[in-house]
This record gives sequence, C-alpha cells and structure tokens, in this order.
Amino acid sequence: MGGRFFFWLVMTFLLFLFVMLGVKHGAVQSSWGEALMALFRTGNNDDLIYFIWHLRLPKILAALAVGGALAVSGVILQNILRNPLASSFTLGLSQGAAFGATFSIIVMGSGMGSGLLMGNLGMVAFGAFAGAMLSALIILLFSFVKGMTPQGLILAGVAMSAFFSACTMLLQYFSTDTQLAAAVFWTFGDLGKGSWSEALTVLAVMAAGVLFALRHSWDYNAVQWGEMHAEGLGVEVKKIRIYSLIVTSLMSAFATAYYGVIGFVGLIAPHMVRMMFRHTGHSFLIPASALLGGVFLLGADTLAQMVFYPLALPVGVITAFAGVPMFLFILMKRSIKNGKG
Amino acid sequence: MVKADNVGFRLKNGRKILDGVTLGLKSSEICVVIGPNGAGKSTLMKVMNGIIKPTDGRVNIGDECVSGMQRRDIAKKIAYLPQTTHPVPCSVYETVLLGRKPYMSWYPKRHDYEMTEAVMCELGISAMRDKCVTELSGGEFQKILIARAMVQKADILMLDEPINHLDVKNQLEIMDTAERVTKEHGLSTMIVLHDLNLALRYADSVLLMDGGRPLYCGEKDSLSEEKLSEAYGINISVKKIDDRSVVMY
Repeated sequence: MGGRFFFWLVMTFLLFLFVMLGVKHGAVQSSWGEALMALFRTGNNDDLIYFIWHLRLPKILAALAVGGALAVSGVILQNILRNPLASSFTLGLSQGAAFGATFSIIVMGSGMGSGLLMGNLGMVAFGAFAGAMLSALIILLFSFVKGMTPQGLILAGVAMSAFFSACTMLLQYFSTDTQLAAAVFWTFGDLGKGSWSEALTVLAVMAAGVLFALRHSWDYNAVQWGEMHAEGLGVEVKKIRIYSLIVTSLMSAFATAYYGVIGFVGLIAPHMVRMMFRHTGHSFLIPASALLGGVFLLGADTLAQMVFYPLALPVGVITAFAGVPMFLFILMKRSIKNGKG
Repeated sequence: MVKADNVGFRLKNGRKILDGVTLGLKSSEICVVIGPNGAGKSTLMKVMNGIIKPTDGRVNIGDECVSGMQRRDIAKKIAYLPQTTHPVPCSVYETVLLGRKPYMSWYPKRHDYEMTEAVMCELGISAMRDKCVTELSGGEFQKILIARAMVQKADILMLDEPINHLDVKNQLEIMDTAERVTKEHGLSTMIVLHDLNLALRYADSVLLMDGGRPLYCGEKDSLSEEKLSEAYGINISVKKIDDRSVVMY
C-alpha cells in the first residue's frame, strides 16, 4: 500500500513539474515570473498569454490525453491478446491511421490548403481515423474466425502493419514533393497539431475508455489466468475481447488521427507499472498506466522542446528512442524466461 | 443438482467426442471421471459447465438448461477449475478474491472480502496471503485454486485433473481437501483423475469413459476389472487390501 501511495505522490510531482515546464518552454522565451503571470492571465504580455492559453496548455492536455489513451489501450490489448508486446502500434492501428492520413493528403489534396503543410487538419484527421478503424475492423474480423488464437491476432496485426506501410509508400511514390512533405510531416507524431477542441475530444474518448476498462478490470484479472479459468469465473471472454478491441481501436484512432503516429507509449507505460508493482491487478494497473502514460508523453514532449532549442523535435522520435530498448528488453526477458522454463 | 441427459458432442467433421453420456451429481458426493487419454473426460466437464454446447442431449442445473444460462449465473452454481499450466503473478489473497468475480460489478464489496478471509482461514492458508502465487509449491498452488473455487459459493465443484504434476503427499493433501469441503459444505463434486487408485479411494461414484462413451457409471464397488481392462486396453485387476480397493496392472 505504501508503495502505491509513493507512486501516486511521485506521479503527481512529475505531473506538476512537467506541466510547469510545458507552460514555460516554447518558441517564445519567458521567465518563470512572466510565464506564471500569463498563466493566470495577469500582466500585460498579451502575446505570452495567447501562446500559453492557445498553444501550450492545449498541448499539455493533449499529451496527457493521448499518453493516457495509448497506455490504457496497451494494457487492455496486452491482456485480451495475452501478449506483452501488444499495443495499437504493434497491431497496425497506427500504420492504418498513417495510410488514411497519407491518402487524404495525397489523393484528396487535404494537405494543400493556404500554403501550410497541414492545410485541412479535419480532413486529414478523418482520413487517419478511417484508416485506423479499417485496420481495427480487419483485426476484429479475424477475431471472429473460429479457432483464431490471440497469437494469431498479433500476427494478423503484424501483417496489417506491413500492408498499410506498403500502401503508404506506394502513395508517397506517386506524390509531388509538396504532397510528400505534408504526408511525412503528418506521420511525425506531434502534439502541437491540435487546439483545445482536439485535445478535449481525445480526453473525452480517453476518459470513456478508462471507465470501460475499470468496469472490466476484474474481468481482465480473470482473463489473465486463461480463457477456461475466466469462463469458469463467469466471464464472457469472447464478448469482452470484442468490446475491448472496439474501445482500444477508438482510443488509438482518435489519438492518432489528431496527433499522428506516436509509438511505444502503450508498451512503456504498462510495463513500467508492472515492473514497479509485480503483483498488481488491473484495478490499479489501468489508472496507474493512464497517468504514467500521460506524464511520460508530457515529459517526452518537454524534452523534445528543450534538446535542440529553438528547434522542437516531434515527440514521436523521443518515444521511439525510449520505446525500442524497452521492446527489446521485454523480448529478451521473455526469451530468457522461456529458456529457463 | 446438475444432470447430463444423453449428452453428445460431435465436431463439424462428424467425429464424435461425446456420445450418450448420462450423469447426475449428488450433494455431498464425489463423482470421479476416469478413462484413457482422449476418452472425452475434460470435454464432458466443459459441456456440463456450459463452456461447450452439446450437439445432442441437454445439461440441466435444477430446472434450468445450462445452454440458456449466462456465464455469470453458471459460475454462481458451478465452480470449475480447468487444468492449470502456469500461475499468474499476483498475490494469494487476490487470487482467492477473484473467486468472487461472478458476484462483482465494478469492485469487490465488503462481503466479498469477508468471504475470502473466511475461506482462507478454513483452509489454513491465511499465513501466505501476501505471497506471490508464482512462488508457491505445486500443492500450495492447487490449494489456493480450490480456495478460489470455494469462494464462488457454488453448490457444484468441478476439478479437471487437479493433482497433475504433484508428488504423492501433495496429491493426498489436495484430494483430502476436496473430500473435506465436499462433505462439510454438501457440495456435488466431479473430479477428472488419471490415478485409478486415488479414484477408487476418494470416489463415491465413478464414471468410466472410453472413446467418448460411458463404459460404466455407478457405485465404485461395482466397477468391474473387465470394464477397466476394456477401457485401458491392458489387464487390470482390483484387489481388496485392508478394506481398500487397490488397482494393479
């Protein structure tokens, strides 16, 4: 119990720290005093008030919402597919979204508005959403195939991932330089793409997803023991698996549609919580991963702002640098465990 | 009481896995299901538990047909422990508490915790409540799973090969526990076993299966050597030593 209290305490501290750093740091430099005054809409630096309230705070909210959504998606997918490497990224949902966005930019011309690379964010987001949902739908259809195992679903995800990547490359091959630039820019996961409305939308979807996951947290605890055990405990495993796939697809699709491909958060956050609390059930794992995912993404974004200041890196680059070693570590740990077994 | 009435199950290719099994479980009694590998013992347990729908016949719990019942409602009547391969890393207490799943909506309530404490106390496992189940011995682990099944407060207990991979001492301890809870709580217990000696020692009634069909169903004392020999395809004799049936082969 003490460990959990300490966890919430540290997370709250880190959340506060990264929110304050996120408020202070940006393209326009300011002192701590100026930033705090602008945060409370006092002082006379109207530009800074505008930047904080219209750019930095929506970005902070987006980091927390997207990080939470991807982390909870990861927790659920790893449980229902009984594979620690499952996430919306490894299942091909992100690649489906990238294809949808690329299709929207190159074929529908959505990225060409008013001289900006991201001319029509709404259309691109819709394309990405459709792509992610198409990928999710195919995975869902596979889940209805009689005798399809969770491992089979993961492999189907890998195949979908490769398919959508190939489709994206094909479209890019036939695009103009400007279209290509817009499409590539979109695939960089970047939290600065949306405004309050996008951040609030993802937050609402994330909150609904977390509530769904918490409602079924004890079902997930039972599913951990295997399908037969869960059925014996009164869990309708097939139903839970399908509903969970739909909910995680929606969470990932909304997050990716507005903010691009941000990989590995769904892998890092749940596994960090599991490493800290080895015996924990899902009623703790779900909220803890949501918070850690949000704080991690916010921290990664703050780092992305500060490393090459004034140049801001896309946050997806930072999460990938942190995520790939984690992915390999889990893979190694599993192999060693299997070798011993 | 659960009753299977002329139950059959065949695969899509027409192969019969179960054929014409009729079985009723009585309260305070242990029915042991024996038979060679592939006889359909575990499938029968899954059919009786509603996990697999029978293609012929029906299974009733009281007056209700299992096929039409919600899983949650079945779990309140039947506590089913399938063959277990690997324990999941969680505490003993949480594992036992999981048995209250059929009664939970969002979270366990006070009553669920009290029930868990009571069962753990009854089985003498309270001292290991904070241990991780992956750190337990095979015997301790099986005992925890029986505690989890007891917490379900079902009238019917189904154990599928609960003593696999256990040493003799632990086998006896688990079977003693199953017998004790059956008698003390008036449960109707069905156990799939491979060990014929333990089957005859603990059973009140025996179902001998072969090729999906019941070869014998009834009192253990009336089970003939011929039927056993026919099912397993080897010569099996049953001797009485100190008033106990001992199977020799």
